[in-house]
Amino acid sequence: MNAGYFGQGVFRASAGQERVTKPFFANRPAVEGGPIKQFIFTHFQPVMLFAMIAFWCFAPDKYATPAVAIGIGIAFKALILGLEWVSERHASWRLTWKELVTDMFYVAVSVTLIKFAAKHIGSEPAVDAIKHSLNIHTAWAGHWPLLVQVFVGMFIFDFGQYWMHRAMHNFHPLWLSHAPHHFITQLNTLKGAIGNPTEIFLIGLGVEGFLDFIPRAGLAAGGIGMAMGVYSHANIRFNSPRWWMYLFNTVEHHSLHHSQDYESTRCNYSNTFIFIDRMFGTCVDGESELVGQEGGRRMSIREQMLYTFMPLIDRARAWRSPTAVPAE
Amino acid sequence: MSFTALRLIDWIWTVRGSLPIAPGLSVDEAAARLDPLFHDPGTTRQRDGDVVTFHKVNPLSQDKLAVFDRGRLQIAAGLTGGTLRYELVGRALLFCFLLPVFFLGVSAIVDGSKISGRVFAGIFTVLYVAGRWLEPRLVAGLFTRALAGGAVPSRNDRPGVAGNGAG
Repeated sequence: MNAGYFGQGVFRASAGQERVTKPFFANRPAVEGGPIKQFIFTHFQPVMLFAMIAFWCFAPDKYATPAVAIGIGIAFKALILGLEWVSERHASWRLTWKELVTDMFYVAVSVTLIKFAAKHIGSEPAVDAIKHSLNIHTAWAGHWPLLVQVFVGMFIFDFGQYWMHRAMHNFHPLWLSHAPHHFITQLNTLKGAIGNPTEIFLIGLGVEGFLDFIPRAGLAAGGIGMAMGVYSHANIRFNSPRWWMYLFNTVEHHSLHHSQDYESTRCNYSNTFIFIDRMFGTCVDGESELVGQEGGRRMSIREQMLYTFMPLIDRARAWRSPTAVPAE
Repeated sequence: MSFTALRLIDWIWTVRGSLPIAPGLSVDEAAARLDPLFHDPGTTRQRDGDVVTFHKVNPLSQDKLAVFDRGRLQIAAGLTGGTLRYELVGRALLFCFLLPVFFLGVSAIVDGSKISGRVFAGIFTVLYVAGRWLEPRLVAGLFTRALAGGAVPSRNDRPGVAGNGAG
């Protein structure tokens, strides 16, 4: 593992074949355009963060609802999709109709089928059952200042996600679940939803439910986490401030995580707080344009759905036809 | 399903069209100008006289013909001008066409997905109409530029890591 540190980084020249260490922040490309565009794409992410915090802190109760949170999420994703055409990061990541349909299909599966599974067999009912059986009451957490609730909730979830994601890159059965997400050949706003359903289910597990935060804290944490996940997959060139890149995951970090050579994927695991990677020495400051696996081949939806289960399918085929040789 | 019945519905996943070919351009010259379109990874092509056929397996995202899994192009050329007729088949179009039905089913069966399933059914309906309108126009423009001898951008032309100063 190449433990990066602030101010230094790694540029990936091509598919991990060459590694050149340079001061990342001094050399990263800037947003192309006039001063207004530069200003917008420098401050967009921090301003949106503070806007979200302000909304969830001060919105009247009748507006601080799950329905409004869903509406904000849809509007935000539509805005970011549009910004991909204003400050494009790479032409080789440009969104096509087929890519949009594929991405939207996975979003729809997440919002319907995987959400249904998580509701019944995910961490939320499990945590509720444990709290009930052990008579755990944590309503006191809901009396903390709202921002503390939001941060603690986000941190607990991201900390768990960090270790789940890291395990997926270091334990083969979990990698089989996660690998289809790494076969995307470009990054776009909705690409975070792409993956085998087992992975989307696993990565959504969390234990923050042990603390009974007020609903608006949960909505704020969910909204901010959603925004960070969108930023880290969007084909947008931002002039992200250095302090921002020190604290939060960015498309730079995440594109490097999606490098084509497997070893280079083993960094930048967090969804929101890149400082968790810094804490554990897995952060690498850098970026990559070439993303994917196996030389950048694009996986079909059918293969993404089956890939996780191929060892079992191959075993079943071998059992049914002992003379068959598994396909490479 | 009979051939005639299939033709009634295959517009869902099939794009047909024709384009004029400039006077004086031979079949060989027109085929040669179209040929770079079929050099992307995962694409196989075959020419048999005035007919070019191609197949694609898992085309790359930036492949300009990625929507289409196979196609047949017929070139009729002559001194006074000719015609390119093409028939392209895209399973992605069929997939998108069927998604509204799938998510309407999800909304009816899965508890808690009543609204979201219907919303996504609507989104995929819009996406299908947009794609069925857009993709034929994009491919016609692509063939037109190729026949005119214009540069056809390809995945193979893209830089490794453009503009980031990598050594």
